Amino acid sequence: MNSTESAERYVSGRMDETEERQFEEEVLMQRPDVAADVDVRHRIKLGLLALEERGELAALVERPLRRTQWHYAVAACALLAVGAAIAYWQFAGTARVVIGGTLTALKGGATLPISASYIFASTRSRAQGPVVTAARDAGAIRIRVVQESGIAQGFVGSLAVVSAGGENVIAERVPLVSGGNGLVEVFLDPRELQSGKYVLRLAPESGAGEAEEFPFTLNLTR
Amino acid sequence: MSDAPNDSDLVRRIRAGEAQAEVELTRRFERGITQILIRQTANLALAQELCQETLIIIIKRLRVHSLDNPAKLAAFIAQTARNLAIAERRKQRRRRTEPTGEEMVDVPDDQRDQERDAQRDSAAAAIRSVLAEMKSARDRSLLVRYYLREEDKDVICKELGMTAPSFNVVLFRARSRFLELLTKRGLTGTDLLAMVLV
Repeated sequence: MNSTESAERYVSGRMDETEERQFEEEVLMQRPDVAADVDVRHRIKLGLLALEERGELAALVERPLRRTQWHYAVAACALLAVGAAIAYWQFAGTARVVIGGTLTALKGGATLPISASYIFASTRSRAQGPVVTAARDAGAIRIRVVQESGIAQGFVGSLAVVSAGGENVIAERVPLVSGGNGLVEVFLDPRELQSGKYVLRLAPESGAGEAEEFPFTLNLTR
Repeated sequence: MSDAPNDSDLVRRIRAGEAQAEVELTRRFERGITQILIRQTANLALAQELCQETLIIIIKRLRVHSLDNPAKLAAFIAQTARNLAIAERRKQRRRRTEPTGEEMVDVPDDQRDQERDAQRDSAAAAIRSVLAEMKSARDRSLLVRYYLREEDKDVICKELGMTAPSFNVVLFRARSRFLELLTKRGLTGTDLLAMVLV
């Protein structure tokens, strides 16, 4: 194995303890060129982690196309539409689920623990919304929303990513359950999301009445 | 591989009070020590601080005592660095208070020590620029999936419909640009230890 591969495996934590110690003592401590290579990889990783923790990463990765790129995008979209239709037909059963009205609606939800639990209530003075912090792989995030419509049940929810380019709806009209205590439960799957700004919207299933908006910042940790 | 005679000589010269040997030891091992500590702490500033501590401990020790096996100097230094990182983790664990149970919406953002880390800010600024310059969403996603999510290269290639060489080219360009931007900012983090050993 060459030093680049070793550096990759070391930074990404793919070495076992013995191999890691051997690499540290016999390569990293002895070869400044490999140490410098590892240094760059470490810094990229920590830089990305910092951007994610600040909620900037999702917008940078998913940023919208510039005006000059639209011509290419339109042509590409036409081709992609055909491919997407085929892919959807073949893989509709395995589409990602980012939000559910019950825990079991999420992928592997039957055995998924709840890693963080929050209550959202409309507080009009807070334009930014709360920061929801959770570990990416520790389980689902449960959000219980204090809804003000007075309807006992029958809600649908949507979730949108907010970036400088606007909103991108990633889940729409997901059936939600209202408990007897007036709280509507929403479950998010952090494995399918990235840190960043989001808006959760709740609306009566019937379409009567306005949707309630709950902006929040998702801060995913490892 | 370990350069045993050189290591033994370095140990002997430090024991004999040769200041230049201490500088040589610092220059030779500081990068490796820092990387071991970054791996252990995931914190650039803390890693550099602990690297300085490691070097001070090692040099103070070598001024007074030799090593049982001077040829194992690198292993001895690496283990000292790991021990310091473990001690630091214990210290932080004692300080930390983890929230449990349900939290209301007004819970303030958890501003951690790392956000005050200027080197981390610099790395974040450089990688932000790299991402902003990358035109392909696929390439930006690749960078995040590989470095941050630590996903397997083969899996990423398969899912993004790339060949291994194309994948390597994207990473190589990103790394080169990142390094260029960091260097422009004057923060490569390698020349901080010359003043340690007074």
